[in-house]
Amino acid sequence: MSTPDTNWPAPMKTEPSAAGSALRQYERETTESPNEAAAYSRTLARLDRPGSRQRRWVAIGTTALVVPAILWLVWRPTPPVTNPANTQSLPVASASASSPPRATPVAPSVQLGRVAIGLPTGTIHLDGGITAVLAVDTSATARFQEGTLDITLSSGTIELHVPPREIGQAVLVTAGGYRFTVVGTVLTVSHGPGRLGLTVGEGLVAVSNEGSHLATVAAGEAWSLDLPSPAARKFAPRITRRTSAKDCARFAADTRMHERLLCYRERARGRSPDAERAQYELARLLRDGPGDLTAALSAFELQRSRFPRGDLKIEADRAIIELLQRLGRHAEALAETQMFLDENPDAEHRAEIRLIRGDIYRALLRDPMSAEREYDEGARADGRTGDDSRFLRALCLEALGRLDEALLAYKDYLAQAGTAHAREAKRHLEQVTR
Amino acid sequence: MQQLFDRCVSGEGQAWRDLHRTYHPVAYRFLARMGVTGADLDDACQEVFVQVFRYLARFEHRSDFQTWLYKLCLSQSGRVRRRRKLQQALAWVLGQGSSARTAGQEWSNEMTGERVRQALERMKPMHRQVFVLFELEGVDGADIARVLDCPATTVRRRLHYARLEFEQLLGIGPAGKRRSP
Repeated sequence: MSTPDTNWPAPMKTEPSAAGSALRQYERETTESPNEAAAYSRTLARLDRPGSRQRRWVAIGTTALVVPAILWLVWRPTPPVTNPANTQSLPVASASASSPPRATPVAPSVQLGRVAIGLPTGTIHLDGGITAVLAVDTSATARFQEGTLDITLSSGTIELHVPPREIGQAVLVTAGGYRFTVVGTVLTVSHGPGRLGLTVGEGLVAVSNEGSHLATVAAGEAWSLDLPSPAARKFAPRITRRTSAKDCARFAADTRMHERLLCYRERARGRSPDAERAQYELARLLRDGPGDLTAALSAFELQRSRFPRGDLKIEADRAIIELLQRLGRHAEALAETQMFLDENPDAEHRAEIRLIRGDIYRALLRDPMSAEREYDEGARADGRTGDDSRFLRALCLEALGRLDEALLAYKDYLAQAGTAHAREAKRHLEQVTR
Repeated sequence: MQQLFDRCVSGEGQAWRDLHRTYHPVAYRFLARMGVTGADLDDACQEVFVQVFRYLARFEHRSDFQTWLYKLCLSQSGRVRRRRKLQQALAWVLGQGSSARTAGQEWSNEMTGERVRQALERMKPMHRQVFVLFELEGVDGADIARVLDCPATTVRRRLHYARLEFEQLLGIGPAGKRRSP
């Protein structure tokens, strides 16, 4: 700032008045020392995200596109319920409802939206390369929402040919209160009076009822259930059996990753510790299996938000930090580590977190001073974490030109037995001594 | 200092780190004295530095960097104040408003700092800006005029009334007492 102008009065705080005294006291109280390093990493993380103006334009653009699309979906005319041309080409359907017709080469496409529409009988093509064959007396509706095709079968028989699906793009068939989750398969669902049937031609289908997993039906297998009458159903006990962890793990034996993911996702519903464990396993599987780090990060973040006081919260925190670092989002990793340290003053992994922070400061932010502070904290630990921290701290001291301290740090490090960086430490010690 | 800004503009990470380390406490303290508290304080301070990082290259050094920093802080504190007012209005409309006022409250000697904070809270915003900058931050009147984009005489007048208001709110000066700055 410029040189003070002598025409201005002296500040009140320099006067011996009551107001001056009050201001001096207030000034002392408001010279707080905030956690500047954490604020810096948060600011860097904020800079990585798009600005509010940019977000606003994205929101306006999205609204401009989505609102007309929704209006169109709501107000567009419903497709015809039956298609005589197709019905004629379904010889089996006309003969028996229990054996559905085969797909014909020429079939109409039905565009689905968020609003459920009635499906025509015969062979139809749906979004995502799915072919459905509805027997002549079948009544079914379908809608497409958030990547999921949801078909509700009121009565009759439907055969579905579903090509392999991506994660999050499920095909669900609901019939008589039971739900069939289709992964990528050929299946037939029949909903007759008092009986529900499923035959799987290829792939795998999960059957559930009110969120409870009942069975997983593989290719060549069938599943059926005698449905109680509506009156009896009202008093029937709820099915409480759920898939166990063993059930999900069995998919690992033959590397059926997709099925295993679906199984964990099914189990992760609800608020129980078992659901938290399933969500954690799901995230781990995404990280270690297909190596989709961004999806794994989202899954761990979802776990943390759904189970903020769960038994596996610390595990999720550590996994998020590790993933942020692996994804190169170092500023966010720093902010996460700071939050972890603030929230877990007694956690056993603090030294490990300090080491991670030190590495980010040293190697990426080129800030040996902050790195040295972090390594100093990490050096208190035993084992490899402490060993690495002590050596890297000495390197930082050397980089900072604090050679006396670096000398001592290298000597202390070399005095310990079985250190991992002994050779490098000796070389640096010689350099510092010279 | 100019060298530091040049290094920042050229994209040197360590220079940004040094800039933040030097000026973050200044911005944080000033925002706190302007009545930004709690989570708002961290957010506002972060927003100030986001703007510094984004626009330092365009900063033409026609004024001192700290003057620019104070301007950014004032803009953020104004934003927080407007948002808080809106929240209070909404709370009042929803019947959740608290009309706790501390005017006339008896203060113990140990609460002097809190008394000052309360007095600052109740000062007119334009008076508070000048008062905090001059009395607490030690900024010269001419520089305050640059921060606020107004003539020095306006700053002088506002400071005069701000001092009167402060003493009155603190309850330690006779009402109507004139102190000519």
